[in-house]
Amino acid sequence: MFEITPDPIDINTVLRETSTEEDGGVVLFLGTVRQHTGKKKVGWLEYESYQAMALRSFQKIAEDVYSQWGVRRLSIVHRTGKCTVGEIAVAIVAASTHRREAFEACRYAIEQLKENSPIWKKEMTNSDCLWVGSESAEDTPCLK
Amino acid sequence: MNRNFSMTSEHKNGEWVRVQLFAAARERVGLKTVNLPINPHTTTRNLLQMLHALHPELRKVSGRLAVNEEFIENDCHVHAGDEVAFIPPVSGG
Repeated sequence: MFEITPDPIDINTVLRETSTEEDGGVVLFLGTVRQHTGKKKVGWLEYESYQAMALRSFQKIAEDVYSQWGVRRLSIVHRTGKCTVGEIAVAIVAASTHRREAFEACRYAIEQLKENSPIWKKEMTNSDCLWVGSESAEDTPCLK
Repeated sequence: MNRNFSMTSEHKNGEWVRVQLFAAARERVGLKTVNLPINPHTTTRNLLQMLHALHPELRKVSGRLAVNEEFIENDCHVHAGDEVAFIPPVSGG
């Protein structure tokens, strides 16, 4: 299951869509919105994606995982739009016969996603509003 | 600007590509897409030069181009109908 959605992520759906009775190890990773980034207090995050390319990158990550670890199924679901503190921004599920492969596949998937998938977050904090990785506090006013 | 760069009206019947902008790039420029004129020699490097010339505010956003949903590692030719995107540093997850 690969999805980019403006709606809250339902982890039960992702788990159900990913695991089968053949799996003995199912690993769920959740990336959630935390209260603080450094010393700044987060109000909310805004996620934007280049949807077609992001979904394609998820597919590629899954192909890597299937060939490298023999994991049976991998799902990646990522939010877009406004995410408030505590909300799930990304859910990844790896399902495998054994736990070791599922853990490693899940770890690989989130690292790859953070490095290569065309998705961006804007942090709205008590001191500024910044596209993470593109802007620093000095070079931008608060654009919404 | 180099010989491949023609923004004049003589290009109106020529070929164009649409470049999609995202996140910081979209906000800086104030547009979701920018149309750029191309000829058979135009490369991704030329597209970046044109983007920077037309929208100097984009110089503040580092980014790389994707063509047809693939990151471009080396300079390559672009063709009418290609799906081009300017990709600022990603920050998903």
